[in-house]
Amino acid sequence: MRRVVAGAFDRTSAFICCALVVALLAVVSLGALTRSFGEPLIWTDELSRFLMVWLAVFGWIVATRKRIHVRIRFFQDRLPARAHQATEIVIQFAMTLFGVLVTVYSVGLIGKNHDLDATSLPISMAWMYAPMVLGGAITALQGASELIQALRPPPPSPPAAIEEAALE
Amino acid sequence: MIHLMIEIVVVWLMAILMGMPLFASMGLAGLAFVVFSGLSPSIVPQKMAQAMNSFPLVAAPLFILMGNLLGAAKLTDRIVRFATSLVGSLRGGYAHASILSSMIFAGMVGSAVADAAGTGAVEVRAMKKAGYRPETAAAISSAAATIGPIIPPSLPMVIYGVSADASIGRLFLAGVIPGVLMGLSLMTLVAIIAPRQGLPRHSFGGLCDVWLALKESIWALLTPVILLGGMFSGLVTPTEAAAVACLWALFLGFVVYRTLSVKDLPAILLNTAETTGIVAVLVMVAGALGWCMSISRIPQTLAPAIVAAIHQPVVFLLVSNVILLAVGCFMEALAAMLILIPILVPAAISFGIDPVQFGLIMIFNLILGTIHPPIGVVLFVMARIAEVTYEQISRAILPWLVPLLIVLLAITVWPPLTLWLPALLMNK
Repeated sequence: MRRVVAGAFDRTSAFICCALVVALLAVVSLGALTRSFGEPLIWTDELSRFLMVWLAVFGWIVATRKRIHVRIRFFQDRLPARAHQATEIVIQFAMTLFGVLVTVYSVGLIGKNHDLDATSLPISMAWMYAPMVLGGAITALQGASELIQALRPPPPSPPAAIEEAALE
Repeated sequence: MIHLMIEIVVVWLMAILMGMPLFASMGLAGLAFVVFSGLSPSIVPQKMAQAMNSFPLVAAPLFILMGNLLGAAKLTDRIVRFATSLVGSLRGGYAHASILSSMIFAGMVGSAVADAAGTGAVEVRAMKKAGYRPETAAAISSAAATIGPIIPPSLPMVIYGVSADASIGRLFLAGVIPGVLMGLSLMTLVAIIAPRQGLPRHSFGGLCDVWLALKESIWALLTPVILLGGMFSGLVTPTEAAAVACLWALFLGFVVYRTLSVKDLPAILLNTAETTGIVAVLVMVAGALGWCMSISRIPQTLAPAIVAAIHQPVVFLLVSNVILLAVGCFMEALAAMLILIPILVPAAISFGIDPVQFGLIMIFNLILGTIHPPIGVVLFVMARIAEVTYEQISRAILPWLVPLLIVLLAITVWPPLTLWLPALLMNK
């Protein structure tokens, strides 16, 4: 069930990402085109900035799900197995904490900005902060999921397993 | 507040070295600062979102999209063929052609990894077929790939321009001469080692062959002309130029060369969003942390202290080079740039160094990190393409770092190499 939900979420977020890239290209092109004809649309700049925030957050979400964010594993990979596991637990706990804090405080931001209108678009500035809630929530959920995995005892390495079998 | 920030920075650096994803460690450092300073924690997500609320930054995903479209449209084969027809008949011709192809492709993509993945496969295959040792072929292509983010367009320059409040147009122009020098210096090394290593030459097919190769690739070769011409003629902004170049890439792929199909688009778009996400979240948290550093007065305190300790701008630049090269050994280029901009750029400005020149030096140093061990991202990509081990390519790349380091030294000590062209074309 968990896999089905995660798969559906990944497909949906991938679709939204593609749509956002297309929309961003279309809006910026429209702005350039109308300006070259001497009839610039006033809302294209602002809409492209809104789309940029949404694309950034959805890209962040996809990268979080695929675990491809930048991290320096050089030193961690040289640690003994137990120390490696301990650092991973701390890291995933911190990821979860960061996600939770971003979610909670972004909800507050939406509340503070919902009655503030954008300059050239008939929408509330809360839309600028709305994707942050999702970005934070997915980071927290992914962090929590990886924390649970990190808390599981590591599988025995092959030589140890052979030794145990020999003892039995 | 400054002591609190220093304590947080120490913990944050430890978290980075421990292996915590950079964006989470930077975000938590920002949150810790606002919480312990008694400020509202909602400042952090607010600054994160605001960091993305920037029209110049919209150029970043569009340049990434353009690179992905051109890569998927397989324009690299035509460019390599054209470059080979021009310089292939020299001794070590395929190496020369590889470098020239990277210089041309650099005018279309903005990152070293994209350059390596785009032209690398074609170049390495051609060199291996001509009898080059695989690790030599991979090393030459890796070194040439670093030209990608120096010749405009450049993703690191967009990020630097937005973060350091420098003109992206001036940065792009500032990269042209150093980029060409990088290519020429690498070609000089090829000319030196080619007779010693007995590198073969490709038979010259005559002017007719050059003409045919040009005819095949002319539409692709027009991409940088459209991109840079539109930008520097004042017709479009860098962001709009990126959008126009994306449309041009779609036109080439679907209409001119017919190498793209609608089925390719979802993967291209998703890849663009993923790369954007990895970079953008770092810019977001760097925006929040940069604000915290500014409130804690770290840059305002550090910049005069650095000026008082070092005195000479040239010495500061040389020290910065050493720091940046060392950081580049362990950290991804864009991430390192975002971390170091709030500390080094105010100090550079205090010395009277133009932020555009400093930006070029910073980007150059950190890009060199992608082709030297232990964490050379381009080396990883190229080792896989050339089917050699990481150790083999790590050894083979060493001589190719020398000409690039000489160019770095030149742009460090002689500002006109970076500042002359922007001054000439942008009246500043």
